[in-house]
Amino acid sequence: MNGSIVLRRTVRLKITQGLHIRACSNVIALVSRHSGQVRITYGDKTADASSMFDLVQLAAVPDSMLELEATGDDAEQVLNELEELLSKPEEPSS
Amino acid sequence: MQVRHGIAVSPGVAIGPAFVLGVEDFRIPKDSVSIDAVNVEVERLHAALEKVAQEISANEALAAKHLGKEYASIFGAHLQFVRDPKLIEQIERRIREDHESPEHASSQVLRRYAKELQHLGDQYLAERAADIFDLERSLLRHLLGEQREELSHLTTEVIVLAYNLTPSETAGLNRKFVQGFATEKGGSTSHTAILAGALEIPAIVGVGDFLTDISGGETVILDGNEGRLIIGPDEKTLEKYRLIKERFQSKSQALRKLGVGQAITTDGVSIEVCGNIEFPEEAIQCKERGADGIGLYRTEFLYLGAMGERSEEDHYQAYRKVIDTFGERPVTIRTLDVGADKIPGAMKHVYNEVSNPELGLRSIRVSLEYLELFKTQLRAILRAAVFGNARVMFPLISSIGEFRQARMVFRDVCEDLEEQKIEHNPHIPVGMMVEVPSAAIMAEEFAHEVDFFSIGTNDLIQYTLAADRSDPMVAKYYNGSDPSVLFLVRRVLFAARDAKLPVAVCGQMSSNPMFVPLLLGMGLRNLSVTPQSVPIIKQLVRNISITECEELAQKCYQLDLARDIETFLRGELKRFLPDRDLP
Repeated sequence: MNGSIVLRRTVRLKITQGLHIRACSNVIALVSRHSGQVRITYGDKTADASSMFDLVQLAAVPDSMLELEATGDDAEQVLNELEELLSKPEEPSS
Repeated sequence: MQVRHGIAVSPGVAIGPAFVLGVEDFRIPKDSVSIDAVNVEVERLHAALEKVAQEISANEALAAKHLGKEYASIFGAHLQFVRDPKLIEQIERRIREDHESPEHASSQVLRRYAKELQHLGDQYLAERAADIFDLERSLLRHLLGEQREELSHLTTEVIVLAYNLTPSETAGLNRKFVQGFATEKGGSTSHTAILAGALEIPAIVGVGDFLTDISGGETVILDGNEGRLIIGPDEKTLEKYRLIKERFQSKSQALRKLGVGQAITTDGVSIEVCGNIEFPEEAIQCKERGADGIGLYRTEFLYLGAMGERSEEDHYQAYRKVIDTFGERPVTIRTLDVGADKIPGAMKHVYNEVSNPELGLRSIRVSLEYLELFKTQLRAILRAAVFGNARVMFPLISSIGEFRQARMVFRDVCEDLEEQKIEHNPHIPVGMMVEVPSAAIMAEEFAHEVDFFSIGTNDLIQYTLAADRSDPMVAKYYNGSDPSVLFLVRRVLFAARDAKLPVAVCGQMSSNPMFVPLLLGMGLRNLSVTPQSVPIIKQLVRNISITECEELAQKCYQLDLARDIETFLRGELKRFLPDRDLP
């Protein structure tokens, strides 16, 4: 990630199905509304949160710990929104 | 010389040079891209990705409309795969740096990714690998699209060899140049196989891997009678097959002659012998074989395998083609008759597997559930009906209320067209298929509501005897000769006779010569059969009298075992249609 400040946060994944396709899809939709970059690390794998292929490959299971990293002016806000999305037990339907 | 075996699906012999098709699964060009061409190739990749994205978006919109947001989001996810910046970057890099063709690069990247998913140890994700293979296929289809078009630009006679042919590709084959085809994939009941038979193109399917052993232009013999593909035949074999080919051609010409002219019994009763078709391309062959009209025009091809919903115009063009071919003769169009899982082809996976699909949401039930889909089809039929003698019928009607509901939608559509001042024919007959036992039982009541009946024996037998004929374990329970089936058919024929309603039998029963005298004896005057059977059924009708048929039917009524009825009918057929009448 380039020069700007990197914010980090660890979140427990509560989505009942884990990071399955639809959840990944929601993450991408969320991230794409922001200007900075977001990465998600699970175990030894790190994914670019704008890449479906990357995210799905994390194969993150429910109740696992995810490490989020964000850059950009609204990094704080992205992390807040992501945390909300990932720590809700049910997938939002949109 | 090499001999390969496959499943014979359409008889005849063809000899000629091989035309190997840019294969779907997939003859991928590995050839490296020259440095000058890199930008063009990358552009081609982007154009193909964009087309795939458009297809998915169309499906997404359709799913949202018909099934709700929940399902649509699945397509949203697929869209994100296609638009994944990392994916595009990886493929692009292979084109730019390794000079791979876009086809090869995309295939490599997507396949490697799918394999990774399969090995993550997560059942759900492993299954998603299928989605990635799907994506690869769509992408390659667009990238290789131009190659496949070669098929429609043939200028010499060839034998087409392919990994697989879709029904629409088969329907589009130019019969002037395509002498026959063989595919690695496919089974005897696939649409492609059925279509090849209808179009009279000798064909074998399910040959297994052979494309790698053959190069374009090599001489091959395709034996659609025995299911043989002979690659690089020697002179002796060629000679043998030239003879077989000639004999086969003179035989089918003789058969074709039988189809010419009306079918009138020896006691002067005229019997209408119509054809059953599915694809508009079949109409001409069907007419040439002597069909008096189309008794069953299946419209499922408009839904199967299509990536998105077909437009009213697609329907309209398909109906016009058949109606124009038959002029004043009747063309009976059956509205959609498939399970909900097939609407449209690409949305299968949004439905959960139903344990008993034959008793589930299918056929007219789907139409009444997805009214917009139904109305689109009805509009097209009503518009096309201006140009000929069209009739519309609803499949799988199981209650009078259901028929009324369908007919109400039909009236709504007429009113809409009226208001919009669009030319249409609101006076076309509206009938129903009798294929659910409940409808046969209530035939007298239905006779007050409908303009005509058409008995669909395949489903009627299946539902009456509770036996799926495609299940080998119970196939013996599926029997058209069963007295219960004949009882129901008779019931419908009698109800129609009393109400002076037109009635046809369009199931396989009427294509089987054995049943024809019995059906005529029970009062049937209109048969609709597979196009191939038209000539032989006409010849049979010309050999018999209605009086004989009525006597035969009386005898059948007294038999209570399916086996006895079948033996009796077989014996009688030998008398009515002796071998000397068969070419």
